[in-house]
Amino acid sequence: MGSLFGNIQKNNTGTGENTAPVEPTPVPVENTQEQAAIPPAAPAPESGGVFDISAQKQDQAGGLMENIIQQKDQAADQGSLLDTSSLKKFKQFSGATGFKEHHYYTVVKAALGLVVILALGINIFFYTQLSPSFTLFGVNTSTNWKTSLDEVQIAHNKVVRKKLTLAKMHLDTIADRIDNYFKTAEQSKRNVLKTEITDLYKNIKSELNFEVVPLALAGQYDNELDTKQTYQQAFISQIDREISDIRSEFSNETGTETQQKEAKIDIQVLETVKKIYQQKPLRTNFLSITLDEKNFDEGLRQIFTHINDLSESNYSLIAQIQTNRIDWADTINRIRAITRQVDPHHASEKWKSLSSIIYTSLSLSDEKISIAGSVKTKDSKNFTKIADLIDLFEASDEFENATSRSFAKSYNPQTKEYQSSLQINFNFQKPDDTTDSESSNN
Amino acid sequence: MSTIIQKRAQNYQKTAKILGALAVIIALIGGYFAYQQFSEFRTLKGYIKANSTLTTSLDTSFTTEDSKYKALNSNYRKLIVSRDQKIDSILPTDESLTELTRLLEQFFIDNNFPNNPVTLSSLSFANSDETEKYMTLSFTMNLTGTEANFFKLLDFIKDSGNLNTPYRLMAITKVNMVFPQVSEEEDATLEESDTPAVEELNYSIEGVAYFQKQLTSE
Repeated sequence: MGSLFGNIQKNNTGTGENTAPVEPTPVPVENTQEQAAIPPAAPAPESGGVFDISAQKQDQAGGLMENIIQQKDQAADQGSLLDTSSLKKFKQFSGATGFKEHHYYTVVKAALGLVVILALGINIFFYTQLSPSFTLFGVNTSTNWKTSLDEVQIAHNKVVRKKLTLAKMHLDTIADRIDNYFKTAEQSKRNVLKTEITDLYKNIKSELNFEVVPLALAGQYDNELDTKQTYQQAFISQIDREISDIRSEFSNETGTETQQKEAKIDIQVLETVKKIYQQKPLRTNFLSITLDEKNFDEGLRQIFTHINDLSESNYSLIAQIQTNRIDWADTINRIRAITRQVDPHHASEKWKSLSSIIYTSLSLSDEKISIAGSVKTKDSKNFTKIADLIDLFEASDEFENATSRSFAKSYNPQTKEYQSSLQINFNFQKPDDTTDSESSNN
Repeated sequence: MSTIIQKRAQNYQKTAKILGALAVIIALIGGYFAYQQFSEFRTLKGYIKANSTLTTSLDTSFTTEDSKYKALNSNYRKLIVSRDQKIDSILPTDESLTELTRLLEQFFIDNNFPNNPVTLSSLSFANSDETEKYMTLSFTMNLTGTEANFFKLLDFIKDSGNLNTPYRLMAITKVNMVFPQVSEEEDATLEESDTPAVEELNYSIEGVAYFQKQLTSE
């Protein structure tokens, strides 16, 4: 573009300095006589080439202009009105000379208009296609894309839902087969069950292996976390809605007993699907179990434990309650074992009189354990024995926070023994307690 | 006059230059945005096509999974119904207070012997309570008996909920043991005797029995 303007400018300087070729300017002519009045251009010299010819033409045009202006000046000098033929010639040449610039101007103006129209048209078209809020012409490309994403989400969640439903069914079936496997002594039956269990486990692994968001969608969303949440919310909402629908359908104990049982199974399936979907660590743990020939039985035990974590059923519920129950008999035995480290005769069937630590009551709950009793010694080291006992409870792996804040003793002249009351409180140790090693070091 | 003509020509030139420059700028800016939008448009068209293919593929996967489900569903339901029948005595559908009372009392009757006594002196139930997944029926027992029988009771409750010997699932939440005080004379007698005397302790146990949540309760 720069060169174009440059040429226009150079061509109109009239100095003959430009070397670019000049196209003949079309001159508007009113009649042939007037055209004849224009002096013919001098013939181009034979030698010199194209550039010389152009220069000569420019020179001729310049001379022509000077001639016209001279004629006009002479007419003015003579005091007459403006000579009409000269004026016409002037106008002709004035127009002729500006025509080229006007032509360029018109072309450029048209080009500008075209560019503006094109730019506006193209951008408006794309706006109508890409703006989700533009709905004047109906569904546009952007909306189509959003719709296609929604369709993918619905289809994907449907597949995941079905996969997890199958996983739940396989989990319950494998639990039953594992139970039978351990109960059966007959080798042939065990082998049949072994094959069935192996196949079921493979199926479960296959069904549990899913992506929350299809990998093929990568690149179509800005924030992976948000997209994941959207998928999860849609999935969980759908499950919750279905559970709620079943519950309301069977509200006020409507339906037959069979229908009620079927509905319960449906709810358990849905709750398991939801749990498996939400609890990735449970899935990962389950998928990490290897079921090889060498450690088959051990693998089955692991699977059995994980099934109770993954699957929502009465069966797993019972297993969970059983696992969380405290073994009180074991707890009482451990308390006695610790006490015997201080007093070897404690709670013996016979020779009770030799026992220095006697419990009068034992109170145990999952929150607090309290021991009440008495300590008798001949060497008056009653408090030391209580302190030793506290340290041993604190140092044990099972208990923590053992305390006894007050100590008192009295001497019995008849038995020649020192007697103290005993009251120690402590708790079951929490998994993160680290005081045992410190207490042991002390 | 030549100056006027030149001026006029120059004006045209100047305006043409400005308009030309404007056209170039507009063309560049418009072209840039058009290109951007075209790229986005082309990408979206590609996504729509890819998503359509993906949806078709997912629909096929769903059909496959659904046919597997239909093939398994009938047998699965039979399995669950059969297993739940066994579970009903462990985790009943209601609080079954009378069944539980009979069960506990029978334990004491079965284990009460003159040389190894155990007696249930009181049994009381609280109102049933609801948790997220199940219902509980709290109870308190006061009993007198030997320590051996007391431990047997602890084991009886610990083994509850086993599918092989199914009876009501229970758990102990609190234990209180009160040991009898042995006098010096009694102790001396015990030391001389060959057979240990029967020592009865007083116990108080708080526990819970579990039962299923109703379908409608949430």
